[in-house]
Amino acid sequence: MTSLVDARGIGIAGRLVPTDLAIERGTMVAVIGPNGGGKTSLLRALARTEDAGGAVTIDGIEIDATAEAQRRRLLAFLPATREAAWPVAVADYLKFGLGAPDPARIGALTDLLELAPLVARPIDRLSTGERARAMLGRAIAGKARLLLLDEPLSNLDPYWVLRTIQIVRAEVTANHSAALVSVHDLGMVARFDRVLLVDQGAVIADGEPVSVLESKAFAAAFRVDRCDGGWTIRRPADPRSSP
Amino acid sequence: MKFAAALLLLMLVAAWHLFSPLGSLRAAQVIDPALATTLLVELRLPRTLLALGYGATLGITGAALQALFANPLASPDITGSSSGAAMGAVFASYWLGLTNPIFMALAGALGAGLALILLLALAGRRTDKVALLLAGLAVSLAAGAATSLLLALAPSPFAFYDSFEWLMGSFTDRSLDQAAAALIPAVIACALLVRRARALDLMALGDDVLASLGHRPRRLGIEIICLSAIAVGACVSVCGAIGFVGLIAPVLARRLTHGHPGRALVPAGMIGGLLVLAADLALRSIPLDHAIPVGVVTTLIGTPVFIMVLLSMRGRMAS
Repeated sequence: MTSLVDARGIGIAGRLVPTDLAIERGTMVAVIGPNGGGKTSLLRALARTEDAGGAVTIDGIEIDATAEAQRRRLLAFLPATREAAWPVAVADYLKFGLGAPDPARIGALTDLLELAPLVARPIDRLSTGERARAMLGRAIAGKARLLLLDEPLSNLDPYWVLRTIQIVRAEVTANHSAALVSVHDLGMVARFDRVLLVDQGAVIADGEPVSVLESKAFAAAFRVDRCDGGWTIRRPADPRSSP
Repeated sequence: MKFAAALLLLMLVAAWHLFSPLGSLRAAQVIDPALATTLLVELRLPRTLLALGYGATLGITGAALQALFANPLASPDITGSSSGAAMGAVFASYWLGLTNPIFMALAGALGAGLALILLLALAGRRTDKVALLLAGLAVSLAAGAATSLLLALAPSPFAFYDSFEWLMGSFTDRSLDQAAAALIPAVIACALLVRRARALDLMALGDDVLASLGHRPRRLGIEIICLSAIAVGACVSVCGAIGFVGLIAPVLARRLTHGHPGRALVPAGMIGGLLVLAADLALRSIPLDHAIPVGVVTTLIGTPVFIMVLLSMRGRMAS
């Protein structure tokens, strides 16, 4: 059986070199890397933003050739921004994630994300963390085959960090889909099936969490070392010894 | 249901606008029934159609531009198309001596198009919203200055004087031909804008999400700006610029659509039509020695609302 997602030469000029990528069904992939390394660009290239090159097929379907209704079933993209320009109620915001009305799904999402007290409130009046939850709800509402989530864990309290990973895992398992999630919290990486390390606009390591976290590429990219179960800043090389 | 009620209200106000004052129509009817018909069709009808159509155009283009820029302060004026259209029409009228309304509408649309090309040249191909907003401001200021210069240097010594009523927005003494020249392009462009309402709703999720759903945000942006320029350009060439309606109508309409920017297009058009009809009615019902351009009334009413929007935005930013 072929992979769920097959990306060929996806890239964004000046941000991400053309990259090939295959993702299997039922997997949760963490995308890690230093700031400005290209995590967001990788997600955007897969989401087919206007500046993205290359080609992506999901379930054997060429994404660029699909229109909205079919594309909703194939992929969903959650950007890192928590900005909301218009005072749309949370319930209406969730509906943006669906092509056709589905009150049962909206109800289920409201329960799942504990949004019941917030449904009638305008999304631009919520706290950043609450907004993050509502926006995640919009992204997962359509049960797309590929979830592209850019930093869904930032601005969340510890309960919601863990709960979000749990929810995404449940969605991926139930729908035989896949999720690509960019994360900064290295402590969460072990909860994923696979890790992509992105730095300087390229995927420089790809594998199981343990192998990537212990790779030389990881230490070089992040400039941190493991220390007593946590992380410590890597000592800069002695300038006198450099040529 | 609500839509039907709103449409009925709009039709009633339009009919009121068309038939009032009834006295002069009755008097004409007594003298000669044909005269009453002529009065109604040749004089009253263009005024009603223009007030309704221009108001609706301002509401729809305003709502579309606000959705595009994700900014409740955007309006047809901000793309520079209103000022550009006025400049084009002034040039055609006072320098080329054109009087045919079709050529005037064309000149208006060309002026709006010129403003648009300048806008895109300033903001660049990458249509960043803030850059576009600032570029639009620069273009409309430049077009306003150019219009004043064209008027000051015009061969006719009365150019400044008799352009006053026209540039400030007025519906008096317009012919049916003029109404057609303004409204046919405006109606077509507005219909095409309304077809994009759903995509404009999804634009609330950001350009990247819109692109991920298979739309083309950049192309959509250019389409919205072009269609708005054509619609506003044609109306401005016949009636001059009418301020603030394009800003207020969408703000009011979004209260009805629970903040949805795209869905607000049609209600904004209805509110815009209603506002301009009401302003023109109010103007006509007050007996005055001087003809006050309707644009002055909309601006007088619009300014406090504009300040209210600004204050609520500031309050939201502070909270």
